[in-house]
Amino acid sequence: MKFYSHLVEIESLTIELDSINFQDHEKHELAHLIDSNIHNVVMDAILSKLSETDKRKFAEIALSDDHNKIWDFLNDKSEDLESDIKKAAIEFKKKLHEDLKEAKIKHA
Amino acid sequence: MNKFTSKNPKFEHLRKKWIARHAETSQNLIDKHARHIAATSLGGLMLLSTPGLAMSTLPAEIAPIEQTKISASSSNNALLASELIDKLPNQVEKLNSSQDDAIAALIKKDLNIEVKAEIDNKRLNRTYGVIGGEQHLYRYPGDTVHNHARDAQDWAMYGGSGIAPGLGAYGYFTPSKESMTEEIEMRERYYLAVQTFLSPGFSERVGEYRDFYRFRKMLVVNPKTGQAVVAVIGDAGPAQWTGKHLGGSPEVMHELGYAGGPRKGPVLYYFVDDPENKVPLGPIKLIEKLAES
Repeated sequence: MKFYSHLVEIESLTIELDSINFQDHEKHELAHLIDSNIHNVVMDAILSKLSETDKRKFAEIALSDDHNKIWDFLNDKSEDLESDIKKAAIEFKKKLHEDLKEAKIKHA
Repeated sequence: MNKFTSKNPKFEHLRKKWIARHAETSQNLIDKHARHIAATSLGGLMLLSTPGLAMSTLPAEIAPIEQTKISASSSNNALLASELIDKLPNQVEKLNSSQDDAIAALIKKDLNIEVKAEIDNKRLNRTYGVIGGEQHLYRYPGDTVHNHARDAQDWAMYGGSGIAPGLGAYGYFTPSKESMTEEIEMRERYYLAVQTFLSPGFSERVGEYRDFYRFRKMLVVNPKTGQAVVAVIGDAGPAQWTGKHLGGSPEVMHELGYAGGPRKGPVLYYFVDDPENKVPLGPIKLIEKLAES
């Protein structure tokens, strides 16, 4: 479980994916790509709010995977961070939904 | 890593698109933040979710460090498995109290978890049996199988198990989605169905036994591998005619190494003696990691 999982809703994506008949290995590969992409987007949202020094500190704390420690640090640095993470993830998911729609139309 | 081939055009379309998007999001991170953070630290941040994939799109100096360290917990699990070999009968059958005591002592030594076959004069009908895979359970009214996934990997791994059409023996885990907590989420994630109705004395004091068993912590061990997971009793079952003695959530079965194939196999299962509720749910390796931090 990632420290930001509670802020990123993926239900709409998985419902859409379940409407396509994927094999197990295909599901795993696409899931991996979704998580990796969202992770990069979330990391960018966080790092963009931090000073150069805090970015370095965050990189160290994040590797500990101690969620309380991570949130104590982040909440101390920015008030709106949770909202920024949610917004960034929502915007990125729109792109993934567009890709899904395109795949369905092109390969109907 | 095995490379699968696919002739599913929708999959190929999405795979190409999302790999391209990954290259883009990775490059964006590097362009915006790499000069502020040591290259290895930025690679580490990416490693949180992209153990294989990120490497192909990152410059060599930022490539994540490969994790090859074998954890102490894994070797402890293997040690337990090797020590259990001569403690268990050839067939999966009921154990006597001296066998239970010897196994509980081994578990304490190797996994540092206090377990008992009996607490408050209550015990299940057995401690060694065959576990079978169960579906997810509804946690609150309106819950769906998609809601159970914490991320897309979770969906890919456990979503296919589906959700049981009826409620578990203890009803919903919580009255509403709003009242969900991490503890409740973990209870459904790591739940067991055990044959509480077969435990000695159950039919004489149903209410008392029901309360005793509801969300009672148990340690389940795959004796062949030593893989172990702490779970709660979240349902009653399975029926005797199934030939199975207990059931495990999709996540429990995964942690025990029984997620594939027939989704069943022999396990040892004991109450966790945890009056202060200090032992977290989940695989033992996670507990050890938390204890260290």
